[in-house]
Amino acid sequence: MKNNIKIDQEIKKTLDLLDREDPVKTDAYFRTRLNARLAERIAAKNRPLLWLRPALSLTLALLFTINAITAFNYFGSDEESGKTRDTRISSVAESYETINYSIYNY
Amino acid sequence: MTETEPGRLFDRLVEENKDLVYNLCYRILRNTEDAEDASQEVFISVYKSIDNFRGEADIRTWLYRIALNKALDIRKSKSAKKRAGIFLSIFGDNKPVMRLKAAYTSSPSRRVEDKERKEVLEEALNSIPEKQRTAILLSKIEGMPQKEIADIMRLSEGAVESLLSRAKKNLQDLLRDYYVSTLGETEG
Repeated sequence: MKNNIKIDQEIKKTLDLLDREDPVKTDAYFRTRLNARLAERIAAKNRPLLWLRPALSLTLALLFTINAITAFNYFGSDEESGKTRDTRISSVAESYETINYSIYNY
Repeated sequence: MTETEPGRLFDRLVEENKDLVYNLCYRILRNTEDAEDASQEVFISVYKSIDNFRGEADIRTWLYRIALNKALDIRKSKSAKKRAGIFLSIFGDNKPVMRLKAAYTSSPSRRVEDKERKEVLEEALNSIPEKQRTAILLSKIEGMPQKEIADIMRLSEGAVESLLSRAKKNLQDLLRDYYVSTLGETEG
């Protein structure tokens, strides 16, 4: 019986805490942080393709690299070996045993 | 913010209601960082929709509703255990979703301090369905009347009354179980 009374008292004391809780307040810098977050959101909204930038930069870098390698292979190797473009084409044609037709053949 | 009419209205809304919003968010989330995060998101939502706000509705109710939704969203995303509680509350389960943990000490002679009571109450609140918890927390904020709670939760006053009654009953049952296990069995 004594325990029942104590239990009822504890329940009441615990539930009374709901009424006794002091309201919490924002600190002095709440508004500053809110303004910063708001400014960030507005700026992000004005840059809708921002998320594309890393992907775009990577793609452009990749394309540039491929172009540079292709250009180097195409022009750079001829200069080194001293071959002209025509002789190079002829040598490729010969290696594949193709016939180089010309209007003068007819 | 800007010196335009909506800008001035926004400034006024923030200054006059930041503590109200923060307090509500804190009561639901029980964490200062989460409460600040939720409060800021509330005012960002307000800023985005300030042009549509015509002022005819009660500003406090409007803000509280946004704050409640933001805080509950954060709370839901925080814990799978709480999501399970929400699932039960959606389907109208009135039973507490979990039992309170065992007592900190089994010694019946130990006096239960306020700090411990707060933790017990917190756990009990977390164990009752979401809508019941929301209703009782709102009712304890500045003695909010049932009509305002009903407006914020978009329910009838009768539904709020029922939620409050079930919440109190569930809290009492949970606390009784807890204190019986802590302070010892009853003697007939």
